[in-house]
Amino acid sequence: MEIRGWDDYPRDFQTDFNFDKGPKWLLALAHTPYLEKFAYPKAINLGLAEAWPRANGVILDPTFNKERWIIHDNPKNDLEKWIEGSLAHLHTKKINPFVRFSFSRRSFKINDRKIVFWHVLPRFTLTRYGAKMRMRHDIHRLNGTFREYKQALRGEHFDFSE
Amino acid sequence: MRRPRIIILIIITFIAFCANSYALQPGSSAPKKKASPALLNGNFGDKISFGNGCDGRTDIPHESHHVPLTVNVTALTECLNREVFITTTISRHGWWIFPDTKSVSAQGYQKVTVNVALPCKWKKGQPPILYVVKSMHRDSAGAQAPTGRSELIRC
Repeated sequence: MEIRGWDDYPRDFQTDFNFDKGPKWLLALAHTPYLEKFAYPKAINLGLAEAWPRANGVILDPTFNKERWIIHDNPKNDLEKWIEGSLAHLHTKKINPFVRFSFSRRSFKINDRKIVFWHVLPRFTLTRYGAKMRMRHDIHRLNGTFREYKQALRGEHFDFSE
Repeated sequence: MRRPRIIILIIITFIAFCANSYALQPGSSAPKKKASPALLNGNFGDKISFGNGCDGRTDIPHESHHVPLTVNVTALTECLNREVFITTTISRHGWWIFPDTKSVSAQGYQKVTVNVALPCKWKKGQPPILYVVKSMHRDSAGAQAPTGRSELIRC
């Protein structure tokens, strides 16, 4: 049986679950291994689930149960993409060597298709939501934009062009 | 018999929560650091390019409509009047330390785009598979930035 939001979500749409904007117990549940899956339908019921089309013109599958989902008409804008870490401004900032050393991903190639990833700091995550947030944080730390990222999450505006 | 299980579950929950909460969660009560006024300048929601027009981006991995049973992702680096480089890696996480992976590098003048694809091994009735994409963007002036994203896909 499919669980809404966990393994049932709109195809060709990207989804975000704003557990941080919900009650604390729901955030804790989303960070709990195995039980995390039960946080997703609850988040949908509380209006914390959003979906954006992958590209302009993508249409929502009419058979999808969109009740209580927030469905956007257009793909994420550039600020939203920057926040999630999929868009970045190239920079020559000097990143703290400790941060670079600690958060950079290293890899060992085993063969053409297999690879082992490792980090200096343990980067394992036990939940889907935790893994997503960790990836975002690592990207912003390596780009030296973690402070601006936090500002953006608080709804403040900032200027990269300086 | 039941008691040890409950204790183990509480410990796992506590560790997972601590491990994930050392960094700020979106919208959570962040330390109220007063931002510099110079940084509070306008809405960048619809701006096409940040800063000096030198960006890297990684699109959403998705089921390919051209090549069936393939997951495809596009990434690009764009800089005005410069040589640009990109390396994009897509990996499918099954057993987490040995993910299937594919990496593509390219370089070009002003704009370079790469397309990376992996076969989709999802079968009906299975949970969706997590695909993780990471890109490293560079330009000839030495600027660089990583980007990345992950997506659960059924094909």
